[in-house]
Amino acid sequence: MGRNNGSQVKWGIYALSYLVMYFIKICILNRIPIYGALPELAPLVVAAVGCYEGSLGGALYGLGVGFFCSAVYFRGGTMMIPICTVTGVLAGLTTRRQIGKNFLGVVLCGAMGVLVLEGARVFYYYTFGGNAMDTLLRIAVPEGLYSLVFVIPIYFVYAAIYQRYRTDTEL
Amino acid sequence: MKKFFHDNGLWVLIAALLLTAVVTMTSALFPNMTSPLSNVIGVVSSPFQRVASSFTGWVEGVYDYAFRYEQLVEENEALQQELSEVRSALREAQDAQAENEDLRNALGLVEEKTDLTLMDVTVTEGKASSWESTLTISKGSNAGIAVNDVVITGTGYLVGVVQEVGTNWATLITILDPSISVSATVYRTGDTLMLESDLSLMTEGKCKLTYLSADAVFISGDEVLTSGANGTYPSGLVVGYIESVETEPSGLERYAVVTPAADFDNLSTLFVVTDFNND
Repeated sequence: MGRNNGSQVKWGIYALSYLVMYFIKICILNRIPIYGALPELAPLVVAAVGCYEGSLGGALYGLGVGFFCSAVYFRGGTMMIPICTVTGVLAGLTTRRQIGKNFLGVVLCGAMGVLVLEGARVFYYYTFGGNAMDTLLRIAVPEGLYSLVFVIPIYFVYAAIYQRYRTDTEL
Repeated sequence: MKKFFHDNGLWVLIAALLLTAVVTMTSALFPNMTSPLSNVIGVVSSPFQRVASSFTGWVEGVYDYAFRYEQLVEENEALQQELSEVRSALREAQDAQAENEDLRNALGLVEEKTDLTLMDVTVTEGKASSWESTLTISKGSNAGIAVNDVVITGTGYLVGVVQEVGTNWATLITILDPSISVSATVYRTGDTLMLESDLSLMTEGKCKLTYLSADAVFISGDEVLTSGANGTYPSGLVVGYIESVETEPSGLERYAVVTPAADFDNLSTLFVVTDFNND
């Protein structure tokens, strides 16, 4: 398999794996709310890919995932475009600080991605929705913590894809 | 500088912001449009969601049988008692209805009634996000469901309003969602108000009646119905019951907290009102 082909297969698998994650979320995880909160996997997945593929790869993947979310989410999905892209860029930067491409890196980047997402949502609903901060935190904190639980399986999935289809070519 | 931007994906970030602006403008220009990608994902995921929904129902049934058997027996006895009382009330109501019809005929009055055309649907997905209260149902445009169709339970309690329709699925916002806005009437007093909600009430499973007049006096348990004002929604559907009257944080306006009649934790089969007549 040539380097380009290998790279295309890898990115194809990354894209497919997000679709699988999305189906797992809507078919299974959305039926198991905890304190009314549902997990959000998109920033975790983008963070994992950003960790392994660098800033540019993470940003492009985040852009793709964000656009997908904006198309399929019922409401508020548009915000996912910049949020996922920023998460991809930031996750890629950690690789250069020698904390990426391992479990700790993916967990830290995932936490950062969730923080960016929840921060943006709280800012939006506080500024434009006129909601009280304690109400917003009552939704954002359980959602963020619940989401972070899934960073572990996501790490194993994306580490396996990266190891299996490793091409040593960051975008 | 160019290399820095390329290496760090910052050009992509700028492209993302531009794309966000385009998507936002498109959404603003076509608020009720279902994107083709969303429709395809909905069509593909709908059968899986139905299977997941059936499986969840089966697991809940097994759980109820194993751990809530005693409670279900007690509930069953209470319901049988209630049923016998309702039957007795029904007999009285039938007598009153017959008398009412006789009097209407005698006075030549036109009967007021709401005819509903209903379509049964299954809930395939509960809420899709922590920040909204939505449900996805098993039928869509190919079954004749349209945006703004009202959705009710089998007992006639208002659940929500269809907001997005795909080929074989539709998404509705429930009356708990912060974006809901339905004209409603307090049955006892006849006051017509707006039924709305906010994130705080949504997390508690409640909604509210706004624009209360200064002299409005409600009591706990007052029944709230849809008013059917401006003909968008059918009239007389049971929304819920007033729980309390509160004052907005600004101190200027009051609102009534409403407990919905529908049990949002146990919705499986619903009915979409595809046509109605408020005459």
